[in-house]
Amino acid sequence: MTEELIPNQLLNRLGALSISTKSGRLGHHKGTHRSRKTGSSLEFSDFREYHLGDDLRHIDWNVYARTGQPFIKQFLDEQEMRIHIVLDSTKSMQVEGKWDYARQLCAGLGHIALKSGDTVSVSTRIHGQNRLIRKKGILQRAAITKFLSSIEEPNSESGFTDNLFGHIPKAVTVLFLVTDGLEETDNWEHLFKRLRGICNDVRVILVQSKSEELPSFEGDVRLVDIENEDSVEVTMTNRSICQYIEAKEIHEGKLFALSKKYGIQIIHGHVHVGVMTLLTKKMRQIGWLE
Amino acid sequence: MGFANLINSWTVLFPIAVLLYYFFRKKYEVKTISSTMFWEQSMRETKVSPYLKNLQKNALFYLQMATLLLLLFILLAPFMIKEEAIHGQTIVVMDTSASMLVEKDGLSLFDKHKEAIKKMVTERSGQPITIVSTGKEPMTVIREEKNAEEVLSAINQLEVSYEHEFMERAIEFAQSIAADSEVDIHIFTDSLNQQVLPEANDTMAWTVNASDLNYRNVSIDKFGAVATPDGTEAIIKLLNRTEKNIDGNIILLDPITKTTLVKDAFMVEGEQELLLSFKDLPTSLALTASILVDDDYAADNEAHISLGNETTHAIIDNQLHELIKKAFEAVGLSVSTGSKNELTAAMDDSIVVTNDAAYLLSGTKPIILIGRNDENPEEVTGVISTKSDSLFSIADLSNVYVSEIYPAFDEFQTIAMIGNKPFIQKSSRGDIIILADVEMTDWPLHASFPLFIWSAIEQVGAEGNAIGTFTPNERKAVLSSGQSGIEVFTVDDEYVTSFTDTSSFIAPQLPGVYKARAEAANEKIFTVQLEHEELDLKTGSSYRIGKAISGEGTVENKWMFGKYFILPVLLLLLMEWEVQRRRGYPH
Repeated sequence: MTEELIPNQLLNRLGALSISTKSGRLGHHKGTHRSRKTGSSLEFSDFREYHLGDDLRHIDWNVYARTGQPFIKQFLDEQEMRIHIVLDSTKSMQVEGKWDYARQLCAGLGHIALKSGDTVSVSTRIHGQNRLIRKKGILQRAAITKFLSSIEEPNSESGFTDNLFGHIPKAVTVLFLVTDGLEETDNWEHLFKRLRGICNDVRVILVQSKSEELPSFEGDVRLVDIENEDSVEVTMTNRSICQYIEAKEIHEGKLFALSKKYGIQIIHGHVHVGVMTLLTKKMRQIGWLE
Repeated sequence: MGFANLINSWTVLFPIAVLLYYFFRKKYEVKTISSTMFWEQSMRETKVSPYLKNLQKNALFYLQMATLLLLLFILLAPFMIKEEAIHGQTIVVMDTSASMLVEKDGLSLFDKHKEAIKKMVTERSGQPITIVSTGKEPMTVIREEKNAEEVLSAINQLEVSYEHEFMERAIEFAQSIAADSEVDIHIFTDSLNQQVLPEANDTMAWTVNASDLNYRNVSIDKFGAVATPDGTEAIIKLLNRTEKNIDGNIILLDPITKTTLVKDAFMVEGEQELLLSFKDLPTSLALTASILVDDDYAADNEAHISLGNETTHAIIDNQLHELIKKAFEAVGLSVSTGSKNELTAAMDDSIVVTNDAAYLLSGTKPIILIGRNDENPEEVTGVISTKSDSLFSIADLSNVYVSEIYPAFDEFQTIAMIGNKPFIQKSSRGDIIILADVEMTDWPLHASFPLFIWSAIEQVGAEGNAIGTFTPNERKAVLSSGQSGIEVFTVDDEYVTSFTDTSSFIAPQLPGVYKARAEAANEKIFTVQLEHEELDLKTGSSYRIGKAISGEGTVENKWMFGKYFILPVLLLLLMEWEVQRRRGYPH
């Protein structure tokens, strides 16, 4: 699994994609994304009259020859994006392939971003310590994959929403949160409120396993919470499952309402559907990738 | 505690079966999931204390177990042996005298005691209880009754009989009921001197429940009236038994015509008596005096008197045999002997007994003539036959032997004959003539002689309209001329009671003026008056003598209480049903 976290041929299929954003905030380094500012790319942008102090090298002499007025030729600037991915490493991510799915998703997003020449940073929390990797350039893809592969098991004791801010870099263009979202909505609201000040384009991917979506247990089951080891004894009946789904829908409904309020986008990532479908279809449909 | 139906203990199999069923029931499968957040929300009520959680988790089991065990318990018919300090029977002596009617705060002492007895009976439910009421003849109201309800209803029917309690008799009576068995005797009265009680022994415990409240009382201590040529004179003695001065009104009433003769205000000083006398009252057959005062004891605020000319003195001719005097003394008259002159002098207020036929014509009152001094006797043989007359209602003459008799008076009615000759005659005035001397017959040796004398006195002496004054429930033979018996009515002509046999007459218990009617035309007045002892309210403290009887050799009382558990079982079943309904059927 360490080697094959995400096969290369799959990553290659992502080559054509890039992350799209309406967020104006870009990095200072040269990149592949057009900026609204004028800059030094090859794409022509506009002419404007020469004012004292402008660089003489930018005067379009052909226009000057025709009009007798000095005009400055402007080009669009191309800049990098700063992509940050926060991976939820709470224990609840262990269950039913959610962890692999989440890492694959991170690797895929990292791959797409690096290919576009953006700066990618991935942060997570392992053994109570924040881990961060920050890379730029297509050649660094392997480093990201390796970093993700090295985190064997999510074992963070504290809640995801509590320890998020310590390792988010400044001036992030797009912030991805890969999480299962199983925390009280109050915590989420608190988090969303603060995220607004950090990044204008926050995207949350709620990783959900199949049995979380529709419990497949039967009979009398003692359900043990992996994080706090609370146990609930449930006799599985249609009624109890309906109650579960109802509770889950209420929780998600609140979460979606919150995200709408704070301008944050949320999508579901279903483990059983697979990462590639999410990246190549769903994210493109909603305009996260292009 | 014990079990009467231990054989039913095989049913313990049922709870064991249920227990086993729960041992082998399906266990919970443990599954680790990301979060129990949503599950917890659907099962939030389970998150309580671990004990409660356990209880909740196994509610059905516990309920079923409890139900089964309770049913098992009921089947075994559990009982408790009630250990009481006192076993054996309880005798309650209830004072029913008039003084128990004294009231304080609207509740008479009698009712207060009744409540106390009821409480005691309820506490001793299942034990034999005997209730004795007091009086000249103590009576058992209920005897060794174990059913508390029966006893309670008997207590409810207890009433004040107005006659004096004669507590000594009641105590003796209770002792005779108790015999040698262990007994707890409770006396409910107003006051009882401890000396009256016998010494406590091992088998008897005495509890006296008295009243030590301070009562206010003014009573008509004495009430007398006499008919004079000018009318009626009445004298009333009032006695104030409290320390304070009390004033009120006195009313003298003719109970027959219902006319108020006198209404007067009076004031009696504390602990003093007051004499009131009234003269020139209209002539009446009876008088009722009542006082209107504010006191706690109403029964003695009324007194009655009948104004009959009852004669209680007899004067006997000294010519007559000594046996006759003895006979008159034996029936309770004050008797004197006298010469002819003395007889003539005493003629108007005494019963004259003589052998001088001249007295038949003189005087205003009938006489008793025994023998004749004006004729000579002649021999006679034969059996005595009597006619229907009240004189012979209690005296049987059939065995009397008479050797000689005097000739009869032709104009008088013959009521007894020997052979075909008159033996006893009656004049139209009411004189009774016995036509033989005492020497001529063996009659004085017979028991019927004093009885006949008594009857004769009753008839001759009480020739007026009154038959005297009685105490409540007094048993006294009353002579009536008819054979139909006596019917008793109140002055308002309300029927009270009747007696077929005049000798078994018992006075009514309620004080007042009554009419005794033997025949339609023959109506006599009598009064029922409280005994003098009942006028004085005595108070005393309650006490107990004799130790509580030990539990040895006592009757064990089994109290079967299993039936009381049926309701909880039903409740448990309902709860099970509800739990089952909420939880649904487990897989």
